[in-house]
This record gives sequence, C-alpha cells and structure tokens, in this order.
Amino acid sequence: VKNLEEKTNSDFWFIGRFLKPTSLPGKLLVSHLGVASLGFLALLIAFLATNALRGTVVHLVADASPKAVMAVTAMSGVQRSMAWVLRLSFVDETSRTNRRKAWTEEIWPSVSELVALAGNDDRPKMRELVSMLKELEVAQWWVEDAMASEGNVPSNMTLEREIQPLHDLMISAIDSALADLGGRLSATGRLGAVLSELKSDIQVSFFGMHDFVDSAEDWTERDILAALSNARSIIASMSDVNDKSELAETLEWIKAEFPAYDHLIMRAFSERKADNWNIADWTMEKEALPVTKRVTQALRLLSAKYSGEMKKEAESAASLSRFVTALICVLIVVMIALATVMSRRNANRITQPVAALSRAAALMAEGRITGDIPVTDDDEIGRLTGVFNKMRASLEEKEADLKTRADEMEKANKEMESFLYSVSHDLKVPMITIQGMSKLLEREFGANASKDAQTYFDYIFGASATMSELLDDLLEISRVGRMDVNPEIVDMNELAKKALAEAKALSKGRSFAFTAQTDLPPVFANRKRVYQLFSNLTANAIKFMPPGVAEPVVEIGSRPGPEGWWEFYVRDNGAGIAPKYQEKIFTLFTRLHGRDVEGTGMGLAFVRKILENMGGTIRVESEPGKGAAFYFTLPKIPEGEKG
Amino acid sequence: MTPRAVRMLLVEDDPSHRLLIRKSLENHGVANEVSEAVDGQEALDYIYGVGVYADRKKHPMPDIVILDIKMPRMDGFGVLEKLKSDPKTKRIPVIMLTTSSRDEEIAKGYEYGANAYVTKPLDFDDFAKKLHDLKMFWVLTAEIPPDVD
Repeated sequence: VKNLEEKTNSDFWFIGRFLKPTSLPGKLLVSHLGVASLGFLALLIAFLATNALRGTVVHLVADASPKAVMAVTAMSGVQRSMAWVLRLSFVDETSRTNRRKAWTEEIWPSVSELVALAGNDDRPKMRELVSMLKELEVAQWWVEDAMASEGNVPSNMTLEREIQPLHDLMISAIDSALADLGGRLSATGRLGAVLSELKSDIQVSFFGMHDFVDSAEDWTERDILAALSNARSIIASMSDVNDKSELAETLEWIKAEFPAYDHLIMRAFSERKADNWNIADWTMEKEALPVTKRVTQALRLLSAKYSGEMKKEAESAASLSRFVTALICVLIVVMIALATVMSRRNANRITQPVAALSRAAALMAEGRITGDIPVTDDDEIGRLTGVFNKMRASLEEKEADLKTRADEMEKANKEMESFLYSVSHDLKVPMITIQGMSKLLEREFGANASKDAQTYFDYIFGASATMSELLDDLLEISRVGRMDVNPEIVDMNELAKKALAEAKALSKGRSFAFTAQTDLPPVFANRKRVYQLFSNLTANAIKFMPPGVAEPVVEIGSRPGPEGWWEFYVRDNGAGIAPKYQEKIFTLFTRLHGRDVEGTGMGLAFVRKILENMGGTIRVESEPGKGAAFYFTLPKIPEGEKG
Repeated sequence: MTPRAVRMLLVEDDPSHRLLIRKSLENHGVANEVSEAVDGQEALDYIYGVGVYADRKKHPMPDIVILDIKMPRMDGFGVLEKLKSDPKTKRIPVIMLTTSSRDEEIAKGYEYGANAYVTKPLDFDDFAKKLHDLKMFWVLTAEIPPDVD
C-alpha cells in the first residue's frame, strides 16, 4: 500500500501535488488541465514562431519591397522624363508637361520615400543620388529651354538674323545696279555679266548655307566655298567706276559689304561645324545623357540591392515559414503523444482502484472473498473502496455465520435422520416380535378362538401392518439423505413400463388406462430412486382414484425442462387436489384422506426428498375433480457421460 | 451315507426373535439342529467350548452360525471378526440376520467375511419364508464345509 502511494505521489505533476485533489472531478480537472497545458504550451510556441514569421513578412512588405519598388519607380521616371525630353525636338506642350510630371509625380516622390526608407548605410548614396537627379533635372531644363529658343542652333541664327538681311540688301543692290546698267547697255555689257555672276554666286552661297545649316554636307560646303571664292575674285576684279553716279555708289557699297557677308558665311560655317552647333543636342549629349546614365546606374544598383534584400528576406521568410510548419507538426505529434501518455497515466490512476474494486467484486461474486482492498486515495473511489471493504467484511461475517448455521442445520438434519433411522430400526425389533408372536398365536391357538378373539387378532394384524409400513417408509426416507446418489444412465421408457406394470398389479382388477410416451428421454440419475419416485406417483394415482371415475387414466410423459434438465410428469384424471393442499402434500405425514385409504402420508415427501437430493424439483398442477399432474425434473445426461 | 443333520448356532439376544427364528427354521421337516447363544460372548464360548460348553458331545461345533448384530457384551461384528480371523473357525459359514438394512452395516458384514447378510422382514409370513429359503439353501443346496477337526 505504502509503495503504491509513494509511486503515485512521485509520479504526479507538481500541480497535482499542489492541488492534492481528493475528488474525482478534481482529479479529472487536474488531469485535463495537465493535458490542456501541453496544448497551451504548443500553441504558445506556435504563436511565437508565427509572430517571428509575421515580423519578417512585415519587414518584407513594409520595408524591403517598397524600397525596391521606389528605386524602380524612380528609374522608370527618369527614363520617362528622358523620353519626353527626346520628344521635345517637336517642341510641344504635352511633352513638356509630361516631362515635368515625371519629375513631380514619379521621380521626386519615390526618391524622397527612398531617402526616408534608407538606412544609415545608404545615406551618402542617397545624397549622391539626389544631387545627380538635381543635375539631371537642370540639364533637362536646359535642353528644354534651348530647344524652345531660337538660338539653339547659332549657325541658323547667323543665317537668318545676319546673313539673310545682308544677302537681301546685296541682292537688291545688285538688282538696282543691273537696272542702272540697263540704260547704258553698250558700255557696260561686261559689268552686267559680272554682276549677274556675283548675284548668282551670292545666292548659291546663301541657299547653299541654308542647306548646309540643315545637313552640313561636304559637297554643299564645297559648292558654297566655290561660289564664295568666285564672288571674292569678282569683287577683287571689279574696276572702280569712279564717277559720282548712283551705280558707282552701289558698286562701292557692294564691294564694301561683301567681306562682311563672306565673313558671316564663314562664321556660319564654323558655327555649323562646331560640336555644339545645336545647343540642345549638345547639352543633351554632354550633360543630360551622362547624368542620366549615372542616375540610372545608381538606381539600378539600388534596385538590385533592394531586390536582393527582398529576395533574401523572402527566402528567410520562406525558410522560417517552413520551420514554423515543421515545428507545429512536431509540436502536434509531441503533444498528442504526451497527451496520450499523460491521459493514460492519469486515467490509470483513476481507473486502477476501480479495476481493483471490480476484480475484488468479481471474486466476491464468485464466492472467493479476498482481503481488504488497499485504499490509496481519499476520493470517491477511495471512499467507495472503504465502503466495499466494510461490505465485504460484513458479508464475510454473514457468510461465516450462514455457514455455521448451515453446518448446524446439516448436523441437526443428520442427527434427525440418524435418529429417525435408529428409532425406526429399534421399533422394528419389537414390531417383528408383535407380528410374529400374534401370527404364531393365531396359527397355533386360533382354531379354538372365539369370534371376538378373531376380531382382536385382525386388529392386531391390521395395526401392525400399518406400523410396519410406517417403519419401512420412515427407514426409506431416512436413507434417501444418507445414500450416495450414484447416478447412471436410466432408460426412462423401460422404467416407465416397469412402473406402470407394477401399478397395474396394484389396481386390484380395476381397468385403468395406463399410457406412457414411447420416446421418453434417458436421464442421468440413481435408477432405484427414480423408480421409487415413479412407482410412488403411479401408486398414488391408483390409490386415490375415486370409485366414481368411469375411465380412470394414468399417464406418463416428458418435455424439455430448464437447462440441463428434463421435465417428466405423471398425470391422472382422479379427484385432484385443492389449491390449499397443493404445497402441503409434499410434507411428511400429511394425509388428505381418511384411514379408509391406505398410506402412511410419506410417499410425496419421499418423492420430494429423492428429487431434492439430486437437485430436482416437483410441483403439482391440479383442479379438484379434474385430476392432478405431478411435474418433476430429472437431470439430462451430461456431455462426458454419453460415450 | 445319509448326510447328518446340519448344526446351526443361532446368536440372538432377543428371546422372542430367537423363538420366531427357531419356529421358522423348524417347521419344514428338514433335518437340522439349532443351538442358541444370547450374546456374542456366549457364542464364542460355545464355539470354542469354553465353560459350560466344554462338552463337545453335548455342544458340537456348529456348521452354520446365524448372527444378530446388536447384542450386549459383544456384538455380531465382534464375533464375526473373531471367527473369520481364526483359521480354525474361518470356514464356518456365518449368516448375518438382523433388522438393520443400513448400507454401511451390510458392507461391513461382507468385509468382515460374512457369507450372507439377511434382513429381518417385519411381516411374519415374509420372515418365515425368508428363513425357510435360507435354511433350504444352506441345508439342501450348499455344501457345508467339512468338519474342522
């Protein structure tokens, strides 16, 4: 007991020891809380792991991902702005607006966000990025501005603002000189041709310059230079007119202005051929594009970095998630295993006493009374065990008491039987003498006896015959309980035949209908006793058959009885037995009939004693006036006896 | 040689029974002699020729002993045991004639070497018939053992 207590105590959770539950609900609560705490622990671990995962994901979504997105947005904004800048060659308001929008709506917001998101490590880079972007914005502004201004292409400006007016003046001067020459054709035929050639050269150089400003083709330059050189030689060869005529003035003016024109053309050439002949293009190429390249590069690096970061974060999130999943799976398995073990252990703690109790109860039910069951706990089961122990003790006491009584009764019964036997035996001795002597007396002296003496003899004989019968029956009854049953297989058909034949002999010539079922089953009993039983019952049927019955019947039959038994019956159509006597008839010395019917009142008691001795029963079914049927059980042949 | 009369020793304490037995044995004209002893001790005295029974001529050795069980001084089983354990007397047929039909006693009788066990019927006619049959068997049917001497 002590061991068990120690074991269960040390086995239990500290909480159980702490709570020390003394009732089943308490124990169950502790057990369930123990199991539930496992689940709670598992949930807590799972919760912590999930939270860590959530942190990673949040970082991924709120930090790494936006940075990458912003970098990409800024980059695309830059590229878009550049695209719009390139489209500015067609100078339209939409492109300009879109370019600005790219800055205000895409580049600067995303960059400012990037700057805001950037860690300390990224700060210098960010500053650099911002300055580069500013530079780019300025460059783009310059390009845009240049494109919008006329001075964007200086050679063109020289051509249109300076060369064209001079050219127009010179052409109109040449034309007016030619008109003047018209009046004096003969003298000035050569001059006119020279002027016409000069006009042509100037026009060639002027229009050629238009083409050159547009295309800067070499052959155009060559044509222009050729025309200019030709014009230069014409100017040089032109003789002075030396008069104060208008023509002379005009020619003088042409001669004076031509070097300027020549110079302007040459300047336009050099302007056109210069690297920055188109300022917008040049600014674009020299400033905007390189800055764009750098900005793009920087943004690409940032984007790559943030994408890498994002990828790394995502990977770590994925692996964390895998870990959490595995952890939760393991926790579930561990929890189930632990819960099973704990639950079983706790259940055992609760059910063990019940099982012990149940075993003890089973033993008790079998009549094997064991010692007290140890009470391990002060709970309901403990109390039940206590009560059970008390009950067991009292039962044991009662059983002992009962056994004593049964023994006493058995002893008394034996004594009774022995007494009965001795009495009947001892009575037999004087009985033999009385009978023998009275017979001898009658035989030897009866011939001379008076009629009265003969009557006396008859009474003596009658009384002693009755007395003998009583003694025989008493002896027989006392022997039933004393004899071994010695069972054997009894052929009931044969036995019934014999009993009925004997009954026929008893019937004193009266015609009875004796019938017996022909398929009576064999029984396993003491043959002599079974025969006595049948012969007693059939004899009774005949003895008590009223004379008024015209067709007296005695019938033997059988039917299945309780498990292991056959039920037999002996039925007659005689007087029957009133209900109030139906139980009484089986007791010793009960006689329902007067002295006129022979019998000792022991027959049915004897029958019942025989049956009870082998565990059988007997009962009567009868209605007065309609006969009686005695039903009794005899054992079937047991399995082992058949062979 | 005509067979001599069969000598019987009737051991019975109840005088009325002795009379009834003697009557039953005598009536049928078969040659037999009946001597009597009233208890077991006297029966042994008779058989061994002790005291008043010393004269063998007067009290010859019995051929058959008819023995009751319940008797004073020494009961039938005592006599039976003594007779059957003595080589000189053990061939004498002993017939137990008693009121007891108790199985134990019947068994005990045969165990001690009784040659027959007969219960006394209550009805005198049955009683007489039974003894007659007994006498007929032992006197006419069975061969009596030769004299011990």
